[in-house]
Formats: sequence, C-alpha cells, structure tokens
Amino acid sequence: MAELEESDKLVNITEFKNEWHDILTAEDIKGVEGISLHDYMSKNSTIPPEILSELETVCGTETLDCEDEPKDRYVLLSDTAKGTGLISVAYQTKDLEHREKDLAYKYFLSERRQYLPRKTPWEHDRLSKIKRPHIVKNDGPEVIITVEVFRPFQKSRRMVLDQEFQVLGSQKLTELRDKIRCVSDYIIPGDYSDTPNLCPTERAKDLYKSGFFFIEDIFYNDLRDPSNQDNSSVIINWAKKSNVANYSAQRMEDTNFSDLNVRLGQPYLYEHQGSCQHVVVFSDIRWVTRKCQIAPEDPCFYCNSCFQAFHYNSDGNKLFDFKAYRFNLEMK
Amino acid sequence: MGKKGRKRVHDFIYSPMTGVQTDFLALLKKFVDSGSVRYEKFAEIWRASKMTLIFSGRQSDAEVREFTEKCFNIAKTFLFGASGFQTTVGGLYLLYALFSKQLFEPTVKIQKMMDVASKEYHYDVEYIFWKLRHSNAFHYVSCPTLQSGLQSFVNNSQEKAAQSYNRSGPESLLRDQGIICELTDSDAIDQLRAIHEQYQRVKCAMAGPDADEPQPSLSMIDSGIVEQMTKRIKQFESWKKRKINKSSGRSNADDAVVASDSGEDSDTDKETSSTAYTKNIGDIRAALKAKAMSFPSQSSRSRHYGATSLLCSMNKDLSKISESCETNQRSAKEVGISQTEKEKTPKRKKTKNTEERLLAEKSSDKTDSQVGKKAKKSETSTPIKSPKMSNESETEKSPQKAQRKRKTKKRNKNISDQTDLSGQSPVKRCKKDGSVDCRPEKLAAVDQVVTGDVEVTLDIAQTKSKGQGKRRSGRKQEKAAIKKKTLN
Repeated sequence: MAELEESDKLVNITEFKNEWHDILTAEDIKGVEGISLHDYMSKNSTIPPEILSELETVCGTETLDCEDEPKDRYVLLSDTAKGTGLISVAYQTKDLEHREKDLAYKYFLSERRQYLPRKTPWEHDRLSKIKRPHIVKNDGPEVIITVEVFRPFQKSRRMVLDQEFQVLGSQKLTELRDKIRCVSDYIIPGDYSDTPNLCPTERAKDLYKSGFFFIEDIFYNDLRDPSNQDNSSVIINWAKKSNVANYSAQRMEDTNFSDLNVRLGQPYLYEHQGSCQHVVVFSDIRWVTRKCQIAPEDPCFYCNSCFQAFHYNSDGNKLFDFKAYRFNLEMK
Repeated sequence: MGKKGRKRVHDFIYSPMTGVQTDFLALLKKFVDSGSVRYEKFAEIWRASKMTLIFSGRQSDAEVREFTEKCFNIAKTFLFGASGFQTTVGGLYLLYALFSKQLFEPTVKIQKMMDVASKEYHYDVEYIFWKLRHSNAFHYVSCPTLQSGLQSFVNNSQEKAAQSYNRSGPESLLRDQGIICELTDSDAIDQLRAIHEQYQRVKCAMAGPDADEPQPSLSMIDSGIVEQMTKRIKQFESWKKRKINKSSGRSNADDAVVASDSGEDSDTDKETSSTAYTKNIGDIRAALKAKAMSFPSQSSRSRHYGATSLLCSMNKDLSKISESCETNQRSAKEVGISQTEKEKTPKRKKTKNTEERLLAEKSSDKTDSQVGKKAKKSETSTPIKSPKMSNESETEKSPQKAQRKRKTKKRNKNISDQTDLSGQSPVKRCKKDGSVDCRPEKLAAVDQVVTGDVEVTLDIAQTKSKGQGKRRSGRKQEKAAIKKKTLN
C-alpha cells in the first residue's frame, strides 16, 4: 500500500539509532554541563568570534519581554490579559468564563488533561510493590520507546488506555511483558468447594505463562518456561491454509526492542492467558539525552521508589538540581 | 446506544488551540512583510503584538504544558513547512521565543524531526539554532508528533471538541475546509477502501475456505462504509458552501467580538483578523510562499551579517526553495507516490529549476556588485548596523581588513557558484556543508505529516459526528417511513 504519512513508515529501531548518531554531537547526548555557551558556539558554529558577543545581546531572551508583561508567572497564568488583540487569548477568555459558569465543565476538563496530576502516590506504592525499578546503565547511544497498553477489548467495549511504559532499545520484550498488569493474570484457578478455608496461593499467571506479542506479521512467543506453549502456531497454520497471510514466529526472550520494526501509532497485539488480548501501540521513539527534566508539573507527587529511582544515582547522590518536600496523608 | 438517556455534562466544547494558528500566521506575516530575516526585527514584532501574553489565563501547570507542546507543534509547521526561507527563519525564531518564554520549570522540549533542514548561513539564525541546541531544547524523535492517535480517536471527545468548538466560528470552518480538501485530494479514501476490502476478505476466510460472505456475528462494521463516507463528504461540501455564503455577512460580526474582547482596535489588528477570516489558510501560506520567492530582490534592502557570504547562500537556498515549493505543491496530490517515484519526477522540472537558479544568480550578482560598490564608496559602512552594536569601533578601525575579508568571501562565492552550475543535486551540495543535512524532497513530506497528522484523525471524527447529527435529524424521517410501511 502506498505510504500516506511519515507516521505510517516502518521504523527499524536500530536504523533510527544509527541515523541520528551521525548527526548528533557528543554534547547533544551527554549534556552541556561545564561548557559555556560561548565555547559551544565557537566550537560548533561558523560564527566569527567578534560577532558572537554582539549576538548575545541582540538575540538574548530579554528582547522578547513585552512592556506590560507580568513578571510573576502565577499572575500571568491566573487570568487572561486584556488588550492583546490575540485571537487565541480572546477564545481562552471565553473558555474561562464558561468554566466559572459551569463547574461540571471545569472538572471535566481537569480530568481530561493530557498531563494529569499523579494519582495519590501511596496508592502506587501499595499496588505495584516495586522495590526499586531496574536501572539500566546508559553508556552508549540509546533510544527510549514509549509503549501504550490498552485494556482488553472484551472487558470493555470502549478502548481505554490502561498503562504506559517507557522502555530502552536494549531491553528485552519479556521485560515489558512482566510489567504489564492485567486482572486475568490474577484470577484464582480451580475449585475451592472442598476446602473453603484454604488460602489460595496460586494465580493464573503462575500456571499459564504462555503469551505473545504480534508485531508486524511476526509472533513473539514467550517460551522462557519449559511448560509454555506456542500459542501462535494455530494462527500461523490457519493463516497459511486459508491464504490470508504468511506469518512467522520468534522467541520473545531473544528479542530486544531495537530488533523490532514498528510503525508508530499502529495497533499491535499482546495476548496472554489464552484469550486476553490487549492492543499495544508504540507512540514514540526518541534518543536518550541527558538532563531530561522528568517531572510533568511542579510540584509533582512521587512514590518513594519512583522518587529514588528518578532523582538519585546508585550511590545516593542527586542527579540534578531539585527540591523535595515530604508529604503525609495519614493523620496520626 | 445505551447512553441515550444520560444527561450531557457540557454543551460547551473545549478547544485550547483555537486561534493560535491565526495568531502565529499573523505574526509571521508581519515578519515576512518586513522583508527581513533579522532576529531584531522579529523581536520587535513579537513585542509589538505582545505574543508572550498568549500564555495568559492557561490556569494550571498541566494546562500550560499541554498548550505549550501544541504551540510547538504549530510553530514547527512553519519551520519544516518549506514554504520559503523567510517563513522557515520566522518559524525558528518563533520556536526560540516560545521556548525561552514558556512558563514552567521543567522545560518542555521541542520534538525535533530527523530532517531538520537547518540552512543557517545567517549568523543570527545560526546563533539561535545552536543556542537552542545548547539549552537542550530538542528531542530527537522519529515522528514529529506523539502518535497517540488511536487513543484520542477512540475517546474522541477532545478531538471532536477541537474541531467542532464554535462550529459556527469562521476559523473552525476554514480549518475544516483544509482537512476535507486533504482527505479528498489525497488517496485516504482509496486507502480506506483497500483496508476495508482486506478486512472483508479475512473475515470471509475465517468463515471457511469457500465462503463468500462472513459470519453474521462478525458484522461489526457497515460493508458500504466507503460509499457512505464519500456520500457524507459530498454532503459536507454542499453544507460548507451554504455556510460560507451565509457567514460572509457574519464574519464581520465575529471580528467585532474579537475586537471588543481585545479592547484594541488598531488597524493592523483588524486587517490581520479579517484576512485570516476571509482568506483561506492555504491562501495565506501561499502568499507567504510568494513573498519568500521574491526575496532575493529585497535582500539588498535588508541588512545582513557578512553580506557576500549570505548572497551566495541565498542562491543555494533559492534553488532549494523553488524545488521544495514545487514538491510541496505536488505533494498534496502525490502523497501516495512512493519515495522512488518522487525522486524520478524532479527530472521533468529540472530545466525549470536551472532557469530559476540562473535568474537568481544574475540578480544576486547584481546585488553583489552593488554591495561591492557600496563598500568601496563608504568604507565605514559596516555589514552590521545594530543600535546596540558593541564592536562597531573595531570594524571601523580596520576597514581594509574587512574589505579583504569580503574579497576572499567573494572569491569563495564564485567557486561555489561554479559548483552550483555543475549540476549537482541539491542534496549533495548540502552535505558538503558539513553539519547541514537537508533533503528537499523529504521536506515536503515532513510538511505533509506535520500539518496532516492530527487532522486526519479529526477528519474521521468529523465525518462520524456529522453522520450522527444526520442520523439524529433523519430519525424522524425514518420513523415516518416505518409508519408508512406498517400502514401499507
């Protein structure tokens, strides 16, 4: 089929990594700490040094300051400015008026934001029970891939984004698989009518460990455990017999994300527990660069384990400059 | 539908980005009209139109963050849009301004496309590009916008909101026009047909090897969806025509609302808003393009850092621009054509390109000699004339030196002209320059993506919602028809 958009293009993650590698400088990847703007310019650009100092004043950010612009960001954000002549501001004024009038609308908006304020941090701690996320050492060039996992379509008729993960190109597909949480993994199998008092210890995920990803006509089967089955073989045989397509199978545990060919935004499949099917979407691939500020808003709530993992290195030193305040809900 | 009886939470539909495109276009139009590519000029226009206040009233952190990211996406369309050198430069300045003026602590990073065709030969442009890079402004991604299309399409309330907010409003109307045109011009419908046919085939295969029809339990989708869509698009077109005829009188009233909101009734304001409303966005961009195409004649008027080196680069740019413009124009119709075919097609246009390039060289030679004369006449006239100039005295001290420099630059320029004429492809020429990696054919594709990305999903939502509306209105008729049947 003809290619409609750039987003339809098949991306080989390793190729993507190598393409950028030729263009990026060391400073782009490792950050520019300790290198002043002046040195950086004279190293990378063709600007003659005698013009440089002048450009610093001509192109400084102060040149963008408007006359009656509030210096305090909270003042600026609290209400729309009058007398700007900007159409977008006029529309925003209209919107704010409506928010005042209709509280339901206001709360509807705050729920629908792309960047939601984190849900209560302690909940995250309790549910996921992660001790400390596995931190991969990032020495060479590396890409970070955003994967969206949707709630199974059978469970709800609407498509609901359930979980979002960020994985490194060097990680295995099985590492993502182990992190995807789904109720059907936690079903307690078996009949307990004879022993109603027995405390169940076994969950479905301990018994039935098979599962696969289906990405660009290739099935990636999880065959780590000897008891695992190749669930895809039935489908592959059927497709061959009825002339639908020619699929192939590979092992999930042998595949890195950088080996994949993906189309961004294309729905793929994750199947486990025999019939539980999640749509999986790769939404973004980008280079890992240093000094990424990760907090989506200020202030931002973290659970203890995430806070530790994001902000400190293995020796317990701060990774970058930030402020942290304790937050306590329990009224004791 | 199970949600029939549920009360609607809101009638007012949220769309934070309404008007931003128009504001940016107005700003860039002023910049292009000034005929300059200097940053100083841009900052002046930025201050005059109080663009920083675009962030005002975006109340929470989450809201500003989302808004800023979307602003970047819009600003990027000018940078990658390949609609002329000035617009591209304006787009870069716009990104810089937005980036340095954004209001929250963890700075939102600009997603950077693979083929950023940064043709920096002007020192201030170059300075700003490297400054952005120094401040870690870029993310290096494989796709210009986040591909959460599925999610937003499925819970499409927001997307629906974006396109139908103020449906009567002129801006949304214009935007719709662009989207629908894109849908009908491109092969989107054909693609849909292909996907649909494949889907139908697989369903048949599931029923059995010899089955002609899929199992009834699998009929989740109307088999005539493509025909329906084309029909609805046609309906929309006729509706739009009616609407435009009607709103030609009303757009003035809408202008009045905006003007009263802003409280400022300066002529420029009125002018930009009226042009934005009455003209199609495509027309405005075409105007920008035309302005940029006529740029070399104006270049002598504006002041440059290192005039001669600039002119030689302008040559290259012009050829690139003309080519990318052409590819851009074609791209609307040829999106479906694969890359290899695209590479073939420029051969036809090559003769035209070389003509244009020669013309441009002639004109630049003229301006070049003018500059040379000027330099001879008044040794003190330095290439830089900014009010805040700090090293004016330095250049004044050594005019001969400066002249010598200029001469060597001129020589270099001639050499590069020769290489120009040797008929190398623009791609190769760019690569010679080192850090610049520019692929004109791809640029057009990028433009397509950036502008088309969200809009395509919107489109389907649009036709869907239209369909629903239609259905609702058509329900009475249906009921009447059923009654008739039962009577018969």
